[in-house]
Amino acid sequence: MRMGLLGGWKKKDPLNEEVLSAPQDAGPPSSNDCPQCAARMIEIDGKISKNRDRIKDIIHDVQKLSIEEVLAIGNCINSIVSHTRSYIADSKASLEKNFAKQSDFLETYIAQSRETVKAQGKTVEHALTLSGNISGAGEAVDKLAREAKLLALNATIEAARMGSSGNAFGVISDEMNHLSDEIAKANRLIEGAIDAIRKSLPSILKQTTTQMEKIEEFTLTMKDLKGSIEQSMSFTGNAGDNQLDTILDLSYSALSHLQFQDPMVQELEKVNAILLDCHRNLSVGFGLPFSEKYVDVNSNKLEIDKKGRNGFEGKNEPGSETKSDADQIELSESEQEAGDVLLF
Amino acid sequence: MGKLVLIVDDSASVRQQVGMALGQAGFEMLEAGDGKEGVAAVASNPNIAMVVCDVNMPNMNGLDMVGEVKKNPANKALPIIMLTTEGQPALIKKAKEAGAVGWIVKPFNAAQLVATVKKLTGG
Repeated sequence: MRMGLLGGWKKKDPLNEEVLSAPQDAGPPSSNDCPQCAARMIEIDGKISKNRDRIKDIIHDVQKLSIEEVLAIGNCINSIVSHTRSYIADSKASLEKNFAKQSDFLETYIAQSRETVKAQGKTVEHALTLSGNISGAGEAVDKLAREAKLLALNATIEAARMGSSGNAFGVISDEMNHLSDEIAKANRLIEGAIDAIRKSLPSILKQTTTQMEKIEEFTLTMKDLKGSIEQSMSFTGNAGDNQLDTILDLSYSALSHLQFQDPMVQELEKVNAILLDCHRNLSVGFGLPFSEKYVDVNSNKLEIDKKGRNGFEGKNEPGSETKSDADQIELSESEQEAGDVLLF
Repeated sequence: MGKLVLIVDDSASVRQQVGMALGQAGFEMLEAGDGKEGVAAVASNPNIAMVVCDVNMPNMNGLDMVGEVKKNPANKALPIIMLTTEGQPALIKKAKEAGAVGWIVKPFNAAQLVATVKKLTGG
């Protein structure tokens, strides 16, 4: 199978033209049969190994650079997103707390205003009732004043009929007449004031009612506003979260793209694999030393170092056992750093 | 259907990152936000093939979680690796004693993580 690979090798190698010049159909010569061929093969194999090392270095540099950069960017984005999320959450919580406080204050204020206006309305209605009662009392006073005036008139007539002996009585009747006039006059003033109050009270009542309606209207507006603000806060938080999720998704996509789909690295890996096969086949064919020093440039700690004179994996020189990659990893006494992988 | 891997980390971002890396490699994911949830998840999901676990978490830390999980003889063979920002040898030793089989320091390399998980789950 592996020999077949050597026989079937026809792809041009842009990195080493000398490899191409190797006869493709010739069977593998033995180093014992042709020392010159062996020397030439060793030379070619050396160049293949050198190119493999160069490609390995390029792959390592490219991957290390991109992964480190992307990881740094990813961490940076993660940190920004995390801080922004935290900031949005804090702002939202603070806003909600302040809004709830202001809202409670306004609701209390509205409730108190409503009670005050209701009390004002009751006071005005009570004042109307009282003014009605006072009007009734004024009529009674008027009646008393009229009776007093009639009485004074009768007294004046009687005093005149009595002649000079009735003079003193006539003075009293005059005073009574004057007093009844003054009472009637005062009553007119009271009636005027009551009338003015009665006329103004409906206007006050109307104003109170309007005030009450406005308070109710304000209450409804406040409820709407509260709902709108709460919804806006919710939308803002969700929108922020969605935006941050999008940023995270994009950064993950970029990371994924660079880590898994870097075409340059993939192509170099393919070229390197071809060179490795070439090297392996030459080793098998000409008994050259074979070394597969690395398997995955990503696995810093999972390096496999399999060395054997006969080439095939796991087929080593007698007495030299290949350790598994897990066995290669020893628990370090020093502190581990970012990206380190330890298997116990 | 891929093998089921439990990711235990209090950071949703890290769970997402690990989930994405392993998801692309064909693994199925189960998530837990702390050690207690992790223990419960292992107890209720016998199909879990491996656990990737943070160390510093609320309620129950990762090392305690490994101890709890490994108390059950049925979980002796369940591979658990720690994925953490910590790198102190003393902690790593504790994890090993508790029954963890590996230690990866954050920020992790997705390809390395996938390679390690594949290796420990047998593909």
